[in-house]
Amino acid sequence: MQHLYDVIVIGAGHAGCEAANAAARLGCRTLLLTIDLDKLAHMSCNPSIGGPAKGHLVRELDAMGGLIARVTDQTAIQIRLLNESKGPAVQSLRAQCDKRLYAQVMKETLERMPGLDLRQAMVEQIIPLQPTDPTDPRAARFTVVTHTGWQYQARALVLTTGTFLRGRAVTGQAAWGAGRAGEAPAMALGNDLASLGFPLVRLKTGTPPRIDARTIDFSQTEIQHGSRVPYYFGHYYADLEAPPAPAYHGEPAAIYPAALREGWRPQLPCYQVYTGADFHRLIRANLDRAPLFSGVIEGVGPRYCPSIEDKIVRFADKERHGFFLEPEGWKTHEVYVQGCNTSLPEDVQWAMLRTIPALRKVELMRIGYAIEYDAVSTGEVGADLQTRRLAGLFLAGQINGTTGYEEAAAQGLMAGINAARFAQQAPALILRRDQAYIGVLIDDLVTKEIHEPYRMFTSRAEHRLLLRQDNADLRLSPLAHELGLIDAARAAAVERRRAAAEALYTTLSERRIFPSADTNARLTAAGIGTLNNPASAADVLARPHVSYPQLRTALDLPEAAREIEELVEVTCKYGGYIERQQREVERMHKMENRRIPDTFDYHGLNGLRNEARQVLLRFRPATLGQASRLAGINPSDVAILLFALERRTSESRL
Amino acid sequence: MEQDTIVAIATPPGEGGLGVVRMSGPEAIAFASRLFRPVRPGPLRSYRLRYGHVVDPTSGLVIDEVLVAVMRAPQSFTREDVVEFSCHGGPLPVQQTLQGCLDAGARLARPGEFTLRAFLNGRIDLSQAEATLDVIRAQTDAGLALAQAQLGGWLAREVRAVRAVLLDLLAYVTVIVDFPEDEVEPQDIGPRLRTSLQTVTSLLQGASQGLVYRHGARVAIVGQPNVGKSSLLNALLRSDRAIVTPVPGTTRDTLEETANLNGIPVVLIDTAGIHASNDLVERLGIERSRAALAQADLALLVVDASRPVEDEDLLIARLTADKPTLLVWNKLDQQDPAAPSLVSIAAHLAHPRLAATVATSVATGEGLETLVQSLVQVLLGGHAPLAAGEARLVSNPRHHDALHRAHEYLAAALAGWDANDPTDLLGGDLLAALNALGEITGESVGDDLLDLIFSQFCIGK
Repeated sequence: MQHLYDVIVIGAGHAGCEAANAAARLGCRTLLLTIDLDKLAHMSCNPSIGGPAKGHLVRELDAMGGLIARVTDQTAIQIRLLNESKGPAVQSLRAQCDKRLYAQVMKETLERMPGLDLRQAMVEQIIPLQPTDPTDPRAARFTVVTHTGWQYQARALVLTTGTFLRGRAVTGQAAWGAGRAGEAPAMALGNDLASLGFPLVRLKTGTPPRIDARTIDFSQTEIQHGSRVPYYFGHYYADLEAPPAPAYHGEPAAIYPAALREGWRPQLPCYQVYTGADFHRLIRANLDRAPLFSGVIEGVGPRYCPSIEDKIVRFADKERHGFFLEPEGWKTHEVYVQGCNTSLPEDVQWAMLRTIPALRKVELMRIGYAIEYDAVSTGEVGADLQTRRLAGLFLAGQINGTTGYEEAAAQGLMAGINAARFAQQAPALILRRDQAYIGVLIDDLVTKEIHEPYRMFTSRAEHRLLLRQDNADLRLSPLAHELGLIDAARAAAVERRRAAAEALYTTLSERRIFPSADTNARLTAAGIGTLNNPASAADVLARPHVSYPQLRTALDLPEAAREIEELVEVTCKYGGYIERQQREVERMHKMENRRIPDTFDYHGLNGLRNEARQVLLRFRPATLGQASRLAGINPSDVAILLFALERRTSESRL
Repeated sequence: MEQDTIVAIATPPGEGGLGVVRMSGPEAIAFASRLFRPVRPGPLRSYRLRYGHVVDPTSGLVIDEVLVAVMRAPQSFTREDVVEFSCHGGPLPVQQTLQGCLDAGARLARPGEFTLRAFLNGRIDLSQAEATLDVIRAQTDAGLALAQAQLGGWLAREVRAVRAVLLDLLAYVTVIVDFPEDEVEPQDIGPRLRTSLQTVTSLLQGASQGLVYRHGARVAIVGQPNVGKSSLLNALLRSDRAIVTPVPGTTRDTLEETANLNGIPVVLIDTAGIHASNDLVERLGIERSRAALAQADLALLVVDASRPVEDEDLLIARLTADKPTLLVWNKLDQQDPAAPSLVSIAAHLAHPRLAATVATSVATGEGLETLVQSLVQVLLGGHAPLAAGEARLVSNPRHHDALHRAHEYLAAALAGWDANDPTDLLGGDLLAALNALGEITGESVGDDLLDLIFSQFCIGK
């Protein structure tokens, strides 16, 4: 039996699965260790993937050979396009998934991956090894000890602990050790990390109750349907592969009304309900029993994921709050109450939900709870997600202070890539803020003090017009192919798409439209309005509220695949804005590309203010650009750093 | 470390005949060609001085007569393409030339940035650069101290108030984009956007006024002998009893006196002391007028109302053609009733940059107050002067630059809002405006946006 792996991934949530996949794709012998093999990429909170910024991450993962998009496409019970009218940069997909099916498809996908082993075990200890020959690239650097005392060895390690690290669940007065409700926490590993010297912080998150569909009066809910138009998270090129069929072929449970059985795929709706005065009164009357306010919970929770009791206290004048009732799968009767995350005592959870007309007789299948867990403090990992304390140890997901499946998956991908490259002695891959949301996410993690679980927003991406979901593959697939994450056939399909878009754009730029009576009549009939002066077709398309299909029909322009037409439309309409962002990016290029060695001696840097030195020592920025973004670093500090770097370079030349 | 083109005033601020505006970067020559009109046509060559005019590219009006030096990369201080404008006409044309370069697309240089580029491009060595670094540091610290001092100042207060409103708007825009499924009350942000734009507009106006109040202006009084130039000078000096400072003229043939006109230090340049002569050129003091005009921001062209306009008046008027000019129709008390009206005289002179016409009688004092008001208004770019105690001057070019950019982005945001553009683009413009204003108050948009969002909107699953 082979116990030595190139890469061992500990934890098989959304981060761990992507890390294992990436490492295996890069040719590493990879081991994925998890406490429960039936819960790979388990959706421990809501059954949905995507949304603004999160959906962008998913598209980027797919462009780089990740799994989350494809598993979502196979297991979605509903897919929608959000922010359709709010601009090209913020449009994003969101899917509701069948939770059990998701874990199952993920498991089957990973099981088929060459070079990847899956094992069920709880890791209790990580032993850093001193290689007898440190110059030997093949030497093992870690021994991993499981709860049975079994040992594995690895050259590089990816640790994705989620909420398991010394996890503690809380509902009302009750608190119990748990990684997730019903699962044991990783206590020993948490203690082990602390003993390895990692400073840990305590974070908190929460989840709402799950209710029984048979006890919902759906006639009193508002129905929210999925998209009638096909949308996929994954990039499926018509000349390469067909989109995957839904992994489920049976009939949806009859309990859910208004299911879409026809169309591009069967879909289940979500159902909206609202709280009222009785609901709010009940919560206020029980605030003394809320662990959030009574001091039972110490961890810091995310403000964008507030509990319902928090919302009612902080926004006292708001008369109602909306909840979405989201089926957790095609057949299960379990329904997720989105918007109602809570750690109030069980009796209050029952009573409050029953004040809602559609839920008068509701029964809870699982109660909501809050969970506190350990994360590693900011500054412990660098932009490659490798810990500074232990070379070869990479962290991804909630252990780095983030929240969300997509955020975890994105880090998993990068940690997996960089662990593989570490094992293969290749330089780390670091994506820039202007390349990908993934780059923004990790750059934020290594330059910002995390005070609450970090979630991705479109507003965090200053170059977001460049980072659209419609161009994720154009941005990242060439790089992914170069690294070995996607094959040549797929890379070629991406280039064909790029060429098709460019060709169509050229056609439109060169096609002159003259304001003849006939042309204006046709444009008016298409709802575009008239021309006064000759213009190119691209100029006409740049007008607000003109779509390419409209223009194409009016003027007999060439037809292309929908994604190509949309891409060209965005280029025409927002070209000016896009160029402005590109100029900003170019302006900062030298700063972003100027690397600072991780071993850089800040102590020996004359003239640096002491506060600046402390900040730089704590975060150890990888580039001058990162240094300039750190709180407490001013332009003259950056200048001093630059001079020192220049001096270093010139001296090393001597 | 960046590849854009930067510009700054290279000479120390203050009085002085000459001011140098330096521009460096890949587009320096292209930008310079947009505002420089050489007297003799031809391309700008490296290490050749060229004589010509700086003109406002949009209006085509002449700002100043200048000498332009071009140093092509790598034979320049920064090893980039460098263009230097040597301006003659005092602080205002220097500022306007700087503004012209900014309008053409250059960015205002940060302290020490030319030196930094010189170092990065290998033009100077580390020890030279480090010496400059001390200066950068001192300036940054001074800048910080200044910012501290302004914490209680009116500008920071105004800018902060505008930022607070814009941050609210950005928070709203961000919420509807990042939380599309949460219930957020729709807001009409148009009115608040419009008000913010107005505030920035008036700050910007104060900014250009501030430069005038701080640096003052130079005004040449020209006209035929005996039209009342000297008495006009004395009258203007008398109109303000606070400051009358006679100083010798910068050329032998001119006399300079400084008057305080409504708070603006105005240097009046008189072509006094012209002796009677039979030579027309000498009698009219053509050379002296030229000398006086060359140093002036503005001309007072004095014409005698007691007699018809003469060819000599037209000759002198032509000298002032490239300066903003006030036509002063003097000796109103002796006006010939048969003489043509002021309007037709102005038309007859056909002055391309005639800014105002005023009829005066220095002898009776009639029209003098109007003249002062017109003069001040022209110097302030057509805006009403500040009321007493309303010391709202933005005199720092950096602040001016930041306000200018904020103004552009806000105008774009408002246009986008009115045109019903996608929300996301609006967010981009708001963010850019906030960051520009933040350069004045030293604040950037970061987590405070999220703080605001979570305190104002009830969102999240």
